[in-house]
Amino acid sequence: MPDLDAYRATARAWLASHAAEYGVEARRGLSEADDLALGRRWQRLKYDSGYAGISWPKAYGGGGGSELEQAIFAEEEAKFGFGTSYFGISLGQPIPVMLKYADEELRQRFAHPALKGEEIWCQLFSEPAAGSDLAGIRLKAFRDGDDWVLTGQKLWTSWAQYSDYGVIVTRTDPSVAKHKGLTYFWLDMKTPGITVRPVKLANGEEDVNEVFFDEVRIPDSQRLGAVGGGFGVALDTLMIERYSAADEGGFGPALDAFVEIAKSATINGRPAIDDGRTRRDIANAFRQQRALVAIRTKTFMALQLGAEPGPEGAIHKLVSMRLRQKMSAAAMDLMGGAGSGLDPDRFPKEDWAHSWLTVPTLRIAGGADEMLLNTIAERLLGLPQDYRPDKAVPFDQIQPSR
Amino acid sequence: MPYLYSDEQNQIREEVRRALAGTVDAATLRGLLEAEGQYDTSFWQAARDMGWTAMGIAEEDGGLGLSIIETLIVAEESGRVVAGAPFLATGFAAAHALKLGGQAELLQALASGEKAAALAFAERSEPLAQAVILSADNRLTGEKTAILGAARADFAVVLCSSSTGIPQLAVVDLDSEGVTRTTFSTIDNSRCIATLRFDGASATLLPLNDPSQVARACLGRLALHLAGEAVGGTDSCIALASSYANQRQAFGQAIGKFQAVKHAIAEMYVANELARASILDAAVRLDNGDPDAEAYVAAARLNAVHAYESSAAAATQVHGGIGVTWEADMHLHYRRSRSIAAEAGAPWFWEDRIATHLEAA
Repeated sequence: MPDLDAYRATARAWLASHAAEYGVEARRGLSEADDLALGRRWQRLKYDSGYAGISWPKAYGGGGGSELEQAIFAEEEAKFGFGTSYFGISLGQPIPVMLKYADEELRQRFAHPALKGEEIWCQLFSEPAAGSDLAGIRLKAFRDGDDWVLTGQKLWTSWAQYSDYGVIVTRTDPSVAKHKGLTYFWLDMKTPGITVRPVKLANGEEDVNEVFFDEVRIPDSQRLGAVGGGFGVALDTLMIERYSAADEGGFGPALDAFVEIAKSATINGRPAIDDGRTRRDIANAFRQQRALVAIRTKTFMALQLGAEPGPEGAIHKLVSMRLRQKMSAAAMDLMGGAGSGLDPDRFPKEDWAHSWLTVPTLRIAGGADEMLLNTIAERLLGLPQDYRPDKAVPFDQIQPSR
Repeated sequence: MPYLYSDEQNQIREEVRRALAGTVDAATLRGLLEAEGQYDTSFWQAARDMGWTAMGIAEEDGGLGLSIIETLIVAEESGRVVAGAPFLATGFAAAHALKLGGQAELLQALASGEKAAALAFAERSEPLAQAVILSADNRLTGEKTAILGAARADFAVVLCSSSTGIPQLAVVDLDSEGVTRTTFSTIDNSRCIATLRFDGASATLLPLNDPSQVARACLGRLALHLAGEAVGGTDSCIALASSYANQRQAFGQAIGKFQAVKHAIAEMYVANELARASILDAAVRLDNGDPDAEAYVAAARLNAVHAYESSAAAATQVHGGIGVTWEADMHLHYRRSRSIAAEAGAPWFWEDRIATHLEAA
């Protein structure tokens, strides 16, 4: 059995040696274009050093390692604030799906440039009327000879504005039940008829987009999976990353930072650290965060022995993000009015106000809290599915969502 | 792999579960709720016969020499059935002080189950108090409030002070002269809670290097054992609520289809998974002699109490009217969850342990 602690130590040392050049301090104050350029160089360095696509086969430029090693590396990497987010989706879902469903020539063509950070892929799933309810997507694709013609709109597409390629789920048959009429493709984002418009989020960032398709023509050879089999491929996509990087602080500031603020702040003229409410906040964070770490330790051991991942990821996301929201607000309270200060050059991992402002996005993206609870209740505890009036109805007879 | 149960440990769990299934029944437990200072004698007999009383005690003291991990498996399984006697928890905690204090005879009596112990530490709202005085000729004077198991335990380990104010631990026979036990009816009578009054009762001073530290460790063990019981109890709440939500129809469908119900049950599960991992983490750290273990014990205690109390309340709510009847099992959990929460110190006590730990770090 590989020694994961040793792996972690080696990875951390390597990451630390490059932190000054590519990490949080190097990124501070950069324009997004410059930050992306720096991120691409960082990705290239990882590729050259065997740290890109750690769990991917070596034949596709990966490291041939385990998923656990990949998750451990990503956890350590996150601590230094490298500019990795541009490549997260690209390497997390679209390329692994290509590796599973595309032919060998395409795999070789696309895996390496993506791993090197030269090309970025996006995942065109959600739409204005279909988020958690993925099977409700409406973007139409109709067959025309050897081609498919796509018309409609996608929404919340991360990094589409920088993407060279994308994978997409479309509705090819509206006359059957919603899960059955979907088909999955890959496409070049420069194909005529595609328009990408960034959506400015509540936190001021523009990492997601709306993407419009106006009679976009792509060949049938770009189909992944069977006609009508798109929902299955989409679920496969979402299952690919079986165990992702996690941070008990929800990638917000660490508890230690909260304790430091509490040590210097006062409440009604007395040290905040001596106040029972502060101490309760600290204890609540500690008990939950250490439990998440323990769950993770336990899960890593089980995965090493060949177990399948369970609900740990859902628990981690639910608990860490809610806690991050509460802790961020509590820390801002301890800083008084200055706690609301929003320095544009600081990152959520090191700044409570940024952390607070960004966390609502994270409680929705990648599985809203409510969907995670549904999954736990239905898959694990055997509770029945919600009432779903549109389930067995042909899609074209369902009332559109308003 | 310290965080994963071994085959032997899984086997112990199966055996405990099987033995309890044939021993503990809800009708007996309901009866005990109305009997002040009584406990489930058939459960206790099973605990003795099966060697659960001996598990955590060293072989040279007549025990089985198993680790805290195994002891906590028994705690969890007894909590699952809301077992009607608290003496495994109190014995496990007391044994730590008896071992360090060289009390081989008492350890043997604990291991065989011939005697049951109580941990007389609390005074009013303070779980670790030492206003009881131990005189130079080893006589105790003062009062310990609402002590778990004290109504029926044979002896108690008492946290007290010398006449010059130095903290000490002493052992006192609860049937001896100068000891008055006052039992009173509680929300969960089989916990055998009693207030102990000492009027010059003769005691044995435990020779310890750092009695305060040993007292904290004993309380930590009590808290961790109770946390194990809480996790088992929470599992039962989840199972009962899930089963009822699948069966019970309202508005034309199973109530489990409503997210208000379904999510409440999922939240119980999330809280209990945190508690379960947290307890194992604390146990592994105690076993390894980790100097920070105390903060992790506190975390386990807080997680488990939170999981059990919130789940017992929510599971009762899921059951609607039937959940608040005497015949339904929900109130056994509702009562036990609150009793456990009060038995080894309120949240602020444990929260403070954590904050103090992090402040110093």
